[in-house]
Amino acid sequence: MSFIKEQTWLKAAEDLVKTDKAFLQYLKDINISVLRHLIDSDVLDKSQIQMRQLLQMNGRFHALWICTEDKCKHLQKLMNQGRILSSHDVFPVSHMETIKELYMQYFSSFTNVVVIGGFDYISKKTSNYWKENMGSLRNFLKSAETSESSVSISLFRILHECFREQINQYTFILTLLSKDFHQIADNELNESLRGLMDLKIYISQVLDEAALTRDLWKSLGTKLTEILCTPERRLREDSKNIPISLSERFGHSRILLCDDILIHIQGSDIHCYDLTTLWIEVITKDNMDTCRNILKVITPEDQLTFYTQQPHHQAVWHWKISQAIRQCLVKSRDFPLWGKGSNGQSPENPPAHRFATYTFKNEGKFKNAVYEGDWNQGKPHGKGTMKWEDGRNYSGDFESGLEHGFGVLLVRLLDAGYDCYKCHWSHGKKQRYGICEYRNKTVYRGYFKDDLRHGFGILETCRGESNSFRYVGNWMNDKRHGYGVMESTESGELYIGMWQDDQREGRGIVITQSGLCYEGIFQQNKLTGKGILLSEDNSLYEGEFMEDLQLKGKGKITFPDGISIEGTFSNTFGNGMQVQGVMKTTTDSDVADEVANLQLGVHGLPVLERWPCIFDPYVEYLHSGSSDAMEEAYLGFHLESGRSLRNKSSERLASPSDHSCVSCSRKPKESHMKNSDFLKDLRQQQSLEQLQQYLEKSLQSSLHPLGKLLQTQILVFQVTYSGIGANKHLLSMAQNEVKYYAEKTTELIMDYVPQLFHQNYEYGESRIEMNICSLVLNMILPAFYPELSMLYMLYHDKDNALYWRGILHLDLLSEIKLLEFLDVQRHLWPLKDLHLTSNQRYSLVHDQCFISAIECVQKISTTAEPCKKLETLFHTMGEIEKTVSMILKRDYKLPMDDLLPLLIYVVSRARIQHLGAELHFIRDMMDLGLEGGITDFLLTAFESCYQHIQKQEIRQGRFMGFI
Amino acid sequence: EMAIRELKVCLLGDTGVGKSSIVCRFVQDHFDHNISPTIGASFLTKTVPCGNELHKFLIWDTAGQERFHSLAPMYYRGSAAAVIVYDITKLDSFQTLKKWVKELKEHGPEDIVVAIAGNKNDLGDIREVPMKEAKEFAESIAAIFIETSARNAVNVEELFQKISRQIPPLDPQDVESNESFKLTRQPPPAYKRCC
Repeated sequence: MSFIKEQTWLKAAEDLVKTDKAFLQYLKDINISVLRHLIDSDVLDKSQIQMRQLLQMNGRFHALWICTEDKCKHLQKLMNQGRILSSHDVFPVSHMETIKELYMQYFSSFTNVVVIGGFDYISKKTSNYWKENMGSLRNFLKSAETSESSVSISLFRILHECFREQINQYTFILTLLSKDFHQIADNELNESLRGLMDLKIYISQVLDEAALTRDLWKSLGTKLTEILCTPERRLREDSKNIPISLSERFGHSRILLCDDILIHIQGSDIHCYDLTTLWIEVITKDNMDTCRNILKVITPEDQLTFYTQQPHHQAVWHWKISQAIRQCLVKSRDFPLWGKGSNGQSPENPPAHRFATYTFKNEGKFKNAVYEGDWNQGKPHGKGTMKWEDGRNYSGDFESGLEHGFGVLLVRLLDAGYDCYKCHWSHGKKQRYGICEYRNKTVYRGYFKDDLRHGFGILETCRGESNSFRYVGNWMNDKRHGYGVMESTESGELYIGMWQDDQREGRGIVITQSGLCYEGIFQQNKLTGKGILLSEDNSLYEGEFMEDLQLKGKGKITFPDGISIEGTFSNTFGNGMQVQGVMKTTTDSDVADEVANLQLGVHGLPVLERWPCIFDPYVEYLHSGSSDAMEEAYLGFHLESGRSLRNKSSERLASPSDHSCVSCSRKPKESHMKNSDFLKDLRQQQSLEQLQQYLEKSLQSSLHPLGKLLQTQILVFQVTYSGIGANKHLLSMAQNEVKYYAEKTTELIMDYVPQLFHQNYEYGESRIEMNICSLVLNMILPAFYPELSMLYMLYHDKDNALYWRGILHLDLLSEIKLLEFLDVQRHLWPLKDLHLTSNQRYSLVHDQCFISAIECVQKISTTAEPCKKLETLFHTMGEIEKTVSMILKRDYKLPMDDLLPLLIYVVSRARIQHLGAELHFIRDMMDLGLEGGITDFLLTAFESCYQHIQKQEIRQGRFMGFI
Repeated sequence: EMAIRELKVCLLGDTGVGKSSIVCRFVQDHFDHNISPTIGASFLTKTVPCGNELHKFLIWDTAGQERFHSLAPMYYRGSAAAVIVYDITKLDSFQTLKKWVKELKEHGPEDIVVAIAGNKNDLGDIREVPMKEAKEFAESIAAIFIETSARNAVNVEELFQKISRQIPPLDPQDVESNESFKLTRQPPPAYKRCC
């Protein structure tokens, strides 16, 4: 049995070698007599399309030839070595794959030549040669009837018939082989055989297609053919064959389906629709009387409605168009039959969602723009890039044909500069958060509405630019509008106030580098009308202004020494004033103090109108359902730093200005909280204590919405009150603002505090809100502490200087002297041994008494939270009491007669640098409970110490008698 | 439930006249220490019923030494009542009392209830201030007058009862505004003055 098999295989191998050898000889002859001649011919212009296709065909001809030769030699070698042992050796499947590939390649090239009428062209050009050498052509054609055929047809036949014949030969040999072994399943053999059959079908299909296509081009006339004919394009369906029309009247237009485009010809008008951007659907339309199906074709800029007379016509067109689109999208045609995938299974309809490139033509937003990206039903949808003719370039998200989501838009201008927008988009317009880097080296970071800057935003110059400025504030219709703060190095000024139409308009404050401030009503950038001006030396002018610093009109100037002049002014401040008026002198030092401590912006710039814009997106975000996906669009600003808008897809975004709004010292600790859990978590807090813990965590987290909100609050606060803005006349504004932040944040939180919470709580709702508000205030204060405490220090500079002089003088006193000076009762002196005589006992007092209390009170400056500061004060009291109890060896409740001197002692030895600022900070920022309560008393006690140390007798050292 | 009204009371008077002894005596028989924290004997509280109200006294002690006199305004501002204590055995302390009365008239809160307490009434034999003189003085300024003995717990309760009775009852409207005052509290003044 085995022997018989081997014999059969050997026989098949011999047959294969034989037929291949004959084929190879034939190819060789064709090459010499036909191809070589054509290629080398000097009458043929190699740049012509026909020749280019011929050359390509020639290449593939040779590839096929060489491969066949190799296979043939290999088989012969196996035979000679007696190694033909299975069908695999005879005709392996891998061989089949190679053959298939080479033949497909060759025939696609060959049909390209056919389609463009290549053989007609070549035979015409070389007709002279063939007149003499017709015989050599005829030799290749075996059948007699060909004697009459033209050169063109001869070439056509010579160059493809032998290949088809060769496939037939292979099929024949393998069929015989498989018949011999039909009882034994030989998968490999069967598969090869099936491949050969498929190839045969495929070849005849592409030849038919090519012939049809060539006929089409011939019938269309040169003008249309010139436009439409390409070597690769094949006709798939023709409305002449199966009628279809764009109107209910047939015959007026011609519809051609090619493998890459759908063509609509009407008269001399041609419309071509790229299949990659073509969608088709069947619409069932109920008319008055009839129910008819129509085909709707969607393209990026057109919608076509196709009518057919017969239902099955419609079905064929629908199927053919769908299949053509699908093959066009995968860039490969079906094998062996189109409409069947390579696996033979019925293919799916083309996807509605796809990637494609398209150039827009119609008038409109995208005219002449090239879009490359995702599509859905005729509209850019998904990710994509749009390139406009004028150099604009948008890369990002699209939805239903418009920019929607996140995207980067580059706008090139004539001077070769770029504006770069990294924005969130909605229905084709910049919406919500975005960053724009302008070509004039400024950067806007903030909110947009309908393409325009709107809401909160920052416009600033890039780092390193001279004449830098920074505007932080409200925008409307692309312009500065509403409350805003502008710092400019050019003018060295800080403007805090209202804007309109990009100009200072309304109430505003200007602070100069030197500390000069003025406040008033601005009109078109200038201070005009009534206003006040405060100089660095605490002189005050109240009256009329003309232009910025021109004192013009009625006014009054008050100098720190008590002299005031009231009258009519002219000339610029500082330039030798001219006044006509009355001079008064007063010795009331209160007037000077009032000027020194005057607070700006308290009346004209209500805190409610300053920064609601930073809360608005937040509220919108919460109302929108606070999805993670939309977080950046709403809260883009609330990111930890402005370094990158989107950290996940950093490839999209170069870093904008390197502005970090958080200084290292107050960078919050990272905790991993998911944004979407925010509301859920908040709602679960059952008690004030739990809520406090929750808020502490969330305010610290740069990922939590509340933490992000805080970062923005810090940003605007710093912009206003650091640098030039660190001015004592702004203390009240700053206080208001921090309290406002706490109140607004509380408002946000209150909406999410569960109802249960309210019911369980023993007080009313307003009481809870108050409690939460003071909680929040206490928690956020550390974030504003650097600026705020600076303002407090500046504000209390004068009395602090007096206090410090007092401290320095008290330093000169020894412990004993100081205790004595302060009238501390002797029995409370911390002495080691009470039995010593008074002279001896002085020397035995500890170097420093009440150390624990002193160290305790010093901690007041190490914390930024007012309630912690207050705690240290309470502890200090406790330490004093403890020390006294130790001295007396019994519990002793100190009355004020004893406590105050001891407290002054402790405070004077603690040498706290800015005690006044600290105490005022606590009093202003803490909810002290009811007036007259224990915290009020405690603070009053320390305040009275501060006050006492400032007294003249102490700071002028009028205690010399004690030394 | 009766409404609790918190009343700030300020103690004035020379050192050693027994300011805090009176208050300690007053507070001593009281059982709400655990509720209300104190600061030594310098800040104490006690709640007593008065009519249909409860009066919670927030009692602020002051240092009696002459050198701290100028700090007193910080303590007595916002007080509902001031208790000025003198020692009936020390004429000087009565003179100081007169000074306090004058100062309160000039700088103290309007409508402040002033109570004059002559302490150490158990030491009648070395008395220097005649009761009649003190009483007449008190009447002349429409102040409460009472002689007390902190040591013997004489008239201490009465002193505070008298004060309670002098405190005008609250208007119902005020009660409501009291509830919300913290929300609207501390509008920072435009002109801040250092104190």
